[in-house]
Amino acid sequence: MNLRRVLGLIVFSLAVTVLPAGAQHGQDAAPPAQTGSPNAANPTADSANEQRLLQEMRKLQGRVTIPDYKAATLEQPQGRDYQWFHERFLPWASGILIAAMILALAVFYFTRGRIMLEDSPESGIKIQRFNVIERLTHWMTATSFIVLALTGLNYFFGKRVLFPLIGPDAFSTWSHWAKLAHNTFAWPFIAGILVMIVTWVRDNIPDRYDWRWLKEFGGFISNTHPPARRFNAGQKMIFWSVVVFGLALATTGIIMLFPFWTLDINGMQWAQYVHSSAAAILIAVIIAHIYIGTLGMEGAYEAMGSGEVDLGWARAHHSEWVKELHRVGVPPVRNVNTMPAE
Amino acid sequence: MRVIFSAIAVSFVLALVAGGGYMLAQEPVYRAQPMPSVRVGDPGQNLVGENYSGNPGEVRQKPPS
Repeated sequence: MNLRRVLGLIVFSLAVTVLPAGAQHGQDAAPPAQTGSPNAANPTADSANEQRLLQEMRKLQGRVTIPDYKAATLEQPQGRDYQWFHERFLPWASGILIAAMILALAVFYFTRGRIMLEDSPESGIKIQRFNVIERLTHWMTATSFIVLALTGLNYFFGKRVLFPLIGPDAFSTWSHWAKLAHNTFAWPFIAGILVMIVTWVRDNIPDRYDWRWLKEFGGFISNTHPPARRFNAGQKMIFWSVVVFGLALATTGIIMLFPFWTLDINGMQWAQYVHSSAAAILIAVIIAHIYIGTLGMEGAYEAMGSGEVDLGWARAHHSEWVKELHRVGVPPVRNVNTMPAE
Repeated sequence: MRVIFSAIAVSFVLALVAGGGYMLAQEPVYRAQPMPSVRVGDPGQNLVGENYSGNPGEVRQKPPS
């Protein structure tokens, strides 16, 4: 009897201990829901995928309760085109364009050399080529452009070229100051462009000498000097490039300085397309301009440096301009030959 | 060279004056687009205001215009 009681107690104890555990084990061992079955657990089942949102773009409407109305833009597919342009096309295209210009100038320099004044030696008579206002405007615009180009190129190549070299902290600091400098030096650049247009537009209107200058490629290859008035066809191309691309940069730059003032997000992206493309082209053009004005041609720097050029240089490169000066009776600034020795 | 240095100086002065004026004319986002409450991570540069303590339950005082 005692034995039966003891066995009964043992069986009851086992039952109390094992059955709940077995029940728990049974729950754990339940087969998982099959993926794709109607009852499968899918935490994003109720959210629409991106393609569906794009299909419904014109139909979905709603409202936002925060003051920033731009938050109401649910989908902006044009952003993908912009991302491709910014991340892929722009760095490659602008890099190739600028590198090609530098390479072409290097090839020209090492094959043709510096354009000298051998066939029109210095006369000793100096005439004024640019007055103080013109030179001040030129150098002010040049200073601003160099700052804008260097800080703007950070947007093209910074994270690919500078970032690996100087690290995240220095790159962050540099980019912050580059952005501030870009936004501030935009204003003297715009002012300079406007003054240059007013000052030089009359002398840069195409005339009958330009075609011959272009046909002879300015005499760079043949070592001749086709006639030209105050500005030759090459200088006029530089001027009109600065006008067209400079105004494009100024307009789109102001649009971006006052974001979403007049345009939506897609309009801001278009401003960026135009701004960065114009910048890349103008940087390449100005590299050529700097080359001709310094290394490429003897006597060219003096024109914008001191404002005076030798009469021999002027006769060689701007023969029609010299004739016009003689016709109106503009006197030379000074004659080195007749100045007393110090 | 005197004209070049003068031009560099003029461009810096113009940049500082015009650029400084431009930056002063810009409004911080918490003033341009104020809201009664937003969960933010950067007090002072957010939609709530420069005095926001980071407490989500705090109701922001509208800044003086």
